[in-house]
Amino acid sequence: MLRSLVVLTVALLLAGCTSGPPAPTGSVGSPAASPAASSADTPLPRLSMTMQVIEISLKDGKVSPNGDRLALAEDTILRLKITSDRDDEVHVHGYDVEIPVKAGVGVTKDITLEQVGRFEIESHNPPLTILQLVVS
Amino acid sequence: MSPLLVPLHGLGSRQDLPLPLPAAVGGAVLVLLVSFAVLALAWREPRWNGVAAGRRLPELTRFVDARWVRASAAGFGVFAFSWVGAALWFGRDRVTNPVFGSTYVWLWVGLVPLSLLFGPLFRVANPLGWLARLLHRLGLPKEGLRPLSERTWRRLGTFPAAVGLLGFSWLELVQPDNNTLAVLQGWWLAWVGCVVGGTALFGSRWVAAADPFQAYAVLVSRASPWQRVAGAVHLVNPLRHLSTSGSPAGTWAVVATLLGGTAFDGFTATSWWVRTTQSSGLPRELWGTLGLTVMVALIGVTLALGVRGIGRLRPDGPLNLLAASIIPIVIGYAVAHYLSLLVLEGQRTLINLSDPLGLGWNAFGTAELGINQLWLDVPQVTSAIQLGAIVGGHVIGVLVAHELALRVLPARRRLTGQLPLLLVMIAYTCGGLLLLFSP
Repeated sequence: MLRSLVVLTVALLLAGCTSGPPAPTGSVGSPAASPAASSADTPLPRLSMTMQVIEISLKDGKVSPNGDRLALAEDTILRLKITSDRDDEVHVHGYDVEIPVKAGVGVTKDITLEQVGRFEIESHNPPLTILQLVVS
Repeated sequence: MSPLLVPLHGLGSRQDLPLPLPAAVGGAVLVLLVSFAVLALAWREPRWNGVAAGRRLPELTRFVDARWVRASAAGFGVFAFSWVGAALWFGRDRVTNPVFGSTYVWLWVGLVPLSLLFGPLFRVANPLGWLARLLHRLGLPKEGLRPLSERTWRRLGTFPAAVGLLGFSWLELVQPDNNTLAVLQGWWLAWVGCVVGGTALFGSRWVAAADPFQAYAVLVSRASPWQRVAGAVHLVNPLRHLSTSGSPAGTWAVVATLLGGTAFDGFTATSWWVRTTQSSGLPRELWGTLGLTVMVALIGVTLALGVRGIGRLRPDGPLNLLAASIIPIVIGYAVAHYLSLLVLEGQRTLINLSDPLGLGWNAFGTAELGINQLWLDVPQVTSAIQLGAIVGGHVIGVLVAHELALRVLPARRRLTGQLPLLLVMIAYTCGGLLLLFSP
């Protein structure tokens, strides 16, 4: 209970940090770069949680990243920034997170990695593996 | 989003962490050491020479042969078949339909521990066997409408089952939308049609020859501590069981299909495979079909090459005999790849089985249960189990191969003749470790 409250607080603080347009993206690399992109430079609240920002682009039936492996520590916050040229959804297996994506409209989703294991992040239209998330 | 559009994901949503590199390398080194130690130090004359023996258990024999015990096992098999069949044909096309977990997890994975612990219990409970008996009760001749000669049966062995196993592997690993009812219904019809239709044509022996699940279960049961010797159940050394129980024709094909299928499953999780197939213009079904075929063929050919050192590859040669030594490796692969799936999705399926038609039932009182993670939250335990299964399977396999090779090889080639198969087994095992490390 306490734990989930803490996580919630962090998530809220983070949401506060990045709500002002344009969001300071810091060193979030180019979308084509490898998923080992970068942790956000956005100053995080003084709690021992790190954030990893991954930019996902769904275009012409191809995905980027393209099935790469992304190894992260437990309790990292994974921020997915998704853009797509068609309506789709992005599914984070195991966490059972479904992210609806509208064509041409970017969407951002934060997931706190509380479960250890290997999880696929998939698009559904067409079904492609975007990332293999390895949380340990 | 309307409920119809909710995708049917859920099976195997969480996979095991990759095996840590030190564990993979350590396992491989151990495998090499043990393999050559067996070659150099183990017994020099065949130890059991094909003679099955152990501790005779007359009471257990009476128990397992009792009419009510057989009837209970059969009743359970027929009940499970009907219950899951109802979910398949009358249930809802949702991920909560228990037919998916019952097929891919309980049937496919569950039959491995079942057969290891209880021997060929699956054969007694196999609902298709009982369906065949019912056909004969209804007047169909026991030898079928087109009886086959004894020679044909011997040559057929379990080849038809190997084809069935390849089909199931394709369904599991390649078939698009394999977690929708329509697809599974088609495969169900093909499976029941082939087994029961074949029984009508060729008689009741067809079930053992052609039912992929029974063939798999019987194969695994050869590594169990229970063996029938002269009609009585004996408690036996599994090594002895493996090396003295019969390997029908086609055993090598069954073994190659099973090992190749599991290996391909691991292979598709490598980022190399995902990247390559997704970047290419070819459809993923084509990639999958090619990959599965190549992997199974690779295992079949390397196995044949390994056995070639021991004897000629004729129909009466030692290929099927020696294929028994790969059974422990098949089991090791299955445990290492699928035990977590069995634990997690097996429980989820058990919960869903209370409500096969999606009507809100709680028939077995399991609908409200939660999923117990058991040891799965501790990745080190999972890694240890995987490593133990792969290396343990290899050690048993090498010992069995040694015994069987000694039985066949002439004295002057007793050591050199074994070498090719030993190297092939080392390759299978190190390949298995590599796949678990999954680069």
